Parts: sequence; structure tokens; C-alpha cells
Amino acid sequence: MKPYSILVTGVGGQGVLFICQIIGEAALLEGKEVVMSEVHGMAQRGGVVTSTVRIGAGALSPLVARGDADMLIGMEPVETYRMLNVVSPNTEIITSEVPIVPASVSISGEVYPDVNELFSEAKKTCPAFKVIEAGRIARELGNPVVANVVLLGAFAAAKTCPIRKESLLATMKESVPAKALAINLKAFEKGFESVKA
Amino acid sequence: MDRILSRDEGKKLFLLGNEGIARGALEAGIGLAATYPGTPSSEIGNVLSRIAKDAGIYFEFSVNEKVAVEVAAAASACGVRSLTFMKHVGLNVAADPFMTIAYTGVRGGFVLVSADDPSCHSSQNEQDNRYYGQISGAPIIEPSTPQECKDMTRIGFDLSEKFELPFILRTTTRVSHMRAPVSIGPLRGPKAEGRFEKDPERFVVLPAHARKRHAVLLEQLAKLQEFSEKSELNRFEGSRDSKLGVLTAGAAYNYTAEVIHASGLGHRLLKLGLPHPFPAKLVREFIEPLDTLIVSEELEPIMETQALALAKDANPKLKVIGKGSGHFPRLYEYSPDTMASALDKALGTKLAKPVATPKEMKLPNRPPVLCPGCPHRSTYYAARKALNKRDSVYSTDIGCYTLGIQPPMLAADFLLCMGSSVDAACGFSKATDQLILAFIGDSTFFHSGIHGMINAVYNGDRFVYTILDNRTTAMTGHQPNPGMGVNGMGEPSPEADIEGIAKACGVKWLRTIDPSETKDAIEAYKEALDYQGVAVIVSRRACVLLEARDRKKAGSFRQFHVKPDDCRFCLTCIKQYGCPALVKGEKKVHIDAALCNGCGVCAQVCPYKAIEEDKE
Repeated sequence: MKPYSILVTGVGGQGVLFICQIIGEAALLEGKEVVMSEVHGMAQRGGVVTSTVRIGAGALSPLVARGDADMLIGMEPVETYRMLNVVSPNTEIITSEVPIVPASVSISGEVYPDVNELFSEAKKTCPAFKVIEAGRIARELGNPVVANVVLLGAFAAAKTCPIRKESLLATMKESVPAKALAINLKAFEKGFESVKA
Repeated sequence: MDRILSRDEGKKLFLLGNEGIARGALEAGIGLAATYPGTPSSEIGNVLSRIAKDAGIYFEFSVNEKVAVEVAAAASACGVRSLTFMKHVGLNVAADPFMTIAYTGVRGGFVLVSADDPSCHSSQNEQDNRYYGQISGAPIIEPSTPQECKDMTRIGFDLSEKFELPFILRTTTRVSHMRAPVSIGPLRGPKAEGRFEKDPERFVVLPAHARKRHAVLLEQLAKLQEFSEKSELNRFEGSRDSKLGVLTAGAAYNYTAEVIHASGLGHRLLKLGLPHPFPAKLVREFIEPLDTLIVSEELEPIMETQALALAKDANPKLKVIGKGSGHFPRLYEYSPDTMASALDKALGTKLAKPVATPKEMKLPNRPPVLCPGCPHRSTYYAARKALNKRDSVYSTDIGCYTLGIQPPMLAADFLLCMGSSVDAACGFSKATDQLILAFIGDSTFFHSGIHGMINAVYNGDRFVYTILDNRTTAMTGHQPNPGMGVNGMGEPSPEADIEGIAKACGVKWLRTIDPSETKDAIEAYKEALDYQGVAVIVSRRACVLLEARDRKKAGSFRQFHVKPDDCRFCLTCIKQYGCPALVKGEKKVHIDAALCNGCGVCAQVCPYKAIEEDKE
């Protein structure tokens, strides 16, 4: 069996690294081989942040080969779409629905595309494409910041997810500060249910 | 207890390569570590700064890499194991002492981590620092994974001490920032104090002494090469009788090994963990029976050139697939695709996988930008206003403020390296009558912005030199610097006085501004631009990320909004100030509450007073 490869993409500050670390720690908890690549430095200043996690025997490369991703988790519609030409038609995709409009749109007159069109084109390209209303769910929970954990919950519910839900939850309980834990666990469950329902 | 200090031997921790290096140094019993922060090396210092007291070691953020290397060299000469680490270009700054440390040799183990950045993720170039091994003579060890980062750092200290040579541990971004399980070993108690036993023929490099030490260096290298031929740091994988060989190292190993192991091609792979001094006998025996040799290394063809030289005698018919044959690039970092594409081209395999073909959509760019409320933006705004479109040159420097290059500020015309803002301004001042503005951050000023200031006054230059004092080293993750009143051990320290330094350099026109006071800031720049000499402006305002954090804690966090009835959609705020929190709507501008950090400058920029602070 080849390793399971996950790409996570979003905008600096959305918590891409955080959910990758949770997935990675959970894989380690299950005694699986795991490698991950992170982005630090200049790109974190409001730029695109893409991280990878690869799980399973023989996973040496922290980067995912073109056409080799099993799962793409996108935290922002345009950033999800930007990754489509490196995934395969069979890649499973989970994306958040809320645009973060880059400053270039207001300042340089660039255009943010229609989100519905982005999503329908993405679904034509990769049929296993699912929109999770992570932004809405997180707002309803009272903190837009936990949208990343909603997506993590949705990932846990995916049929192909190689990590048990219990391991992800156990890792969250280890890693999230006590005062933020309750809302994060709720966000995770909401994301999980949004797929299972 | 911090997990990096765990005594749970054999336990697996999920560590970054950089954290692995920190752990390895602790397992080696270092007594001292010194650095200047720089991506992709910074997390080593963040970890060591956090745990230094608990670990019983001394850690410092030095003012620059040259100082860090000399601090570590002196401690090593006292018999204390010393770690120093920096980004690749940091070793350029430290090259002068480093070359000579190879001559004097070391006593306590000395490991210098050079974190290279192929693809320039956060750097001005992608130089290959393995060449520093060849120029200086210093041996190089090259890990591929976080586990090897830890193990090889520890081994590096042992070898450095045994052969009395400074060792370079060379990583790249993808090794430093790769995270994987690391099985931890025993912590050796630190030896934080030693004694300097005098030996001037060794440690005072007068010409007569240096000539002798060069010979010693070559002798030691010869001994180390003998060791390298048999070292476990260089290891084989795959089938012994295969005619297809693969020579690789570092980050390239991860891609190369995974792709070739999965390809079904029979192969014999040699991974060099100690590539300098080059184990010539080992490589010679490796290539002798081969038909084909693949050399996979990022950036420069260093192993390839040496393997080719050996092949001339050892195996003249050997087919070499590498950079010379055009199968591997000399540019940018590698990936599994690099290896798959090289094998497909050279051997006719079909390893490259099909990719999705989405409809081409025009997507907006998302370059990194100055944060909402960043004081640098306010400073640039004031300077631009005062310039009023007069012909000018922005000589910028390395830090967050380089991002002023984005519209609408366009505040970056020239940049080479740390400190180049002020040094180059001296040259511009002599070569052109355009108005010259140099910008540098506080940490970069202490790193290498002071000599240029002395030079400018001494040589009678004319320009405006702005020190953007945001009270931290923001870009690399808010490390302390000499202006902040706290040091790398987390202890209080005297604050270096930027204005005092300027006066001592002979600066006659000096002004301190708060860039969020727009009117005063513009007036200061108007005067400075008229001044016929070196005008220094210290623009002092804490990094907005720190200010917002502190205000949230204190309950004084504030935000601003646009009054829709007063907004005339003139777009002055966006076109001239361009904070990412300002969003252009259909007929009005509004402020994104998720982004606004409450600096309040946009309220001063708006000509119609349409922006005001939120009320409770």
C-alpha cells in the first residue's frame, strides 16, 4: 500500500499548520509512519500556506508528488482551486466556503471569481468534491477561527481517512489550551456530522 | 517540563528538523549556543531560548552571525561544546571568522548549522553552502530527516571534538521544516564552563602561525577522510549486484529514495551523510561495477563533479544521469516529481502520474503583505506624502518592511542583503541627485546598519535614513534584539539606544516619530528630505501583532469602521494607504472587522473624516 497523502492549503493565519500537526501527532499515536512539511517565514504574512502530511509505510518525502494526493483540505475557495492542477481527478476534496479576498483585489483591481462557479468547475474536475460550510459553522459556534477544526472533523468522517476519530480527538485534547478546548471539540463534531449526516 | 527536555529515552516525539537539531545538541551536552535568527533556521533558537535555563546551558541572540560564530568559537576554545546556527546567507556574514576557525581548530565540539533555502522561500538567493566546506576545509554532515537532524548533530559534536575541526551541519528548508517522529536518546549533562588554556601558536593567527595551522588542517582532513570511508553516516540501500546506482544526500534523498524504491527498478543507492571530505574510495568502489549512475542533489553539482572525476579512471563507460546530462535541474528545490521526471526521461519509465485539468480561471494573486495596522505602512505613507512624487530611490533592507514593495507603497527599489539599505544609500548619494531614502528595521540596524551610518557621516553623504523600530525581530517570529531590554535567556538587559548611536556616529539631523501620528510624521519627512546631509528618522511603534495582543489582554483593543453616509468612495484610503482591512465594496469602502488591528491611521488618511473608532 502506498502512503496516504494529504494536502492542506489556505491563507497565513487560518491554522493550516495546526490541523496538519494534529493529524501528524494522531498518526504517531497510532504508531504509523508519518512525515509532514511546514511553511514558516515570509509566506505566513497573509500569503498562501500549503502544508502536507503523508502517512503510511515508505513515506519518506515530505512533499506530495503531482497527481498523488489522496485528500485536499482547502480553507479558502480560491486557494482550493489553485491546488487543483497538482492533484489527480480522483483526489478527494474538502473545502471551506468563505472567501478571504486578497488585498490585491481592492488595491490592484484584480477580481475575486464567483465562488459558485469555482465550486462547480472544481466538482467537474474532481468529482469527490465536498463543500463544508466551515465558516458558517464556526461563526455560529462563536469564533470564526475554529473553521480549520470544522474541516478537520470533516476529514475524520471521510471514508478514506487513515486515522481514527478517537486518535484525532485525543491529540486535540493534548494540544489545545484548556480554555479553548470546548469550542474546538464542538467544531470538530460539527464538521464530522456535516459529512456523516 | 518542556517535551524537548524529555528524559523518556526511546520515546518518539513529533519534531521539526530544527527541533531535532536542538535536541541533538542537548544530547551532545552543549554548554553554549549563539545565533542570529533567519528562516529556515529560526526554530532552533526559539526552542533553545525557551529551555536554556531549565537545560542549564547559555543561549544568546547575538547581534549578527559573525558575532555568534566568534562567541561559539571562544567557548569551544575553552572546552565547552558550542552550537551556532544561521540561515545560509548568515554564513556569508560569518565567513571571515569561520575560515580561520578551520585553521585554529576547536577544543570543545563546534557545530555550525547552515540552513540553506533552495527555491528562495524566504531568502534573497539560493546559494549552496556545501561550497563553504570546500573553501574553508570544514567537514560537512548532511541530514535528511528530523531523526537524522538529531542524531547527526550529536555525532557531529563527537567528531568535531575528536578531529578538532569545526563541523558544518547543512540543512535545507525542507529538512529544517519537515516534521516526523524522532526517537530520543539520553541527555548528556551540559558542560557550561571550561577554561582557556593558552596556546598562541594555535589561537593567534599571525602569518607564521597560520601557515603551520593550514598544514594541520589538511592533516586532520586526511584523517577524517579515512574515517569517512567507513563511517555509518554514509550508507547503502538496495541490491548489492544492481548495475543501476544512485548517489544522493540531504533533502534530495527523501524524494529520490521513495521514488526509486517504489519504481520497481533494481538499484543500489548510496546516501552520503558525511559528503565532505568526499569519501573517494567508497564512491569509487560503488561506481566501478555500475552501468548507470544517477546523481540526485539539490542546487550545485558538487557530488556529481567529484563522482565524474573518479569515473574517468574507475569506470570510463559509466553513464551518468545528473545535471550535466540535463536530467536534473541546478535550480530550486527538488520534489518527488524531479526524480520521477528524470527517470522517465533517462530510462523510459512512466512514473509521472496524471493530474487533474481544471478549467483555467483567473485567480487573484495572494502575495505576502504588510499586516493590517502595520506601523511600517504608516511610515511609508508619511514618506510618500512628503516626497509628493519627487524623483526618489527607496533603498530597503531585509525584514517585514521589504513587503512595502507591494502597491500602493512601492517602497522598495534596491536590496542586496542585511544592511544594504544604508550602505547602498551612500553609493546612491554619490552617483545620482535623486532623493534617497534608506529604510532598515531595528534588529537589522543592530545586525549591520551602524557601520553604514558612520560611513555616511564620514563621507558627507546626503539621504534620509529611517530606522523602523517596531521593538522586535518580527519577520522571523518576534525574537528579542538589543533594543528591547530583554535577552535570549529571557533576562532583562540594557536597551541599546538608537538615537544615542546616531548621535555618536555624528548625525546632526535626528528626529524620533510615531508613524501613527500621520501629520507629524509627514512634516518630519518634509524637513528630512530638505536636509543637506544624513537625516535620521527613528520611526518607533511596536509591531501591530504585539500591540494588538497586549491590547486584547488589557481590554483596550479597539477597531475602526467606515461611516457609510460619509464615505464618498474617493478610494484615497485604498490607493494611498492600502491596508488589507480596507475593502472596496460596490459604492462604499468598508473595514473588515476580522482584520482591523485598530491602528487608526486610515481615519487620518480619509479626506472626508468618514472613518471613526468603534464605540462600545
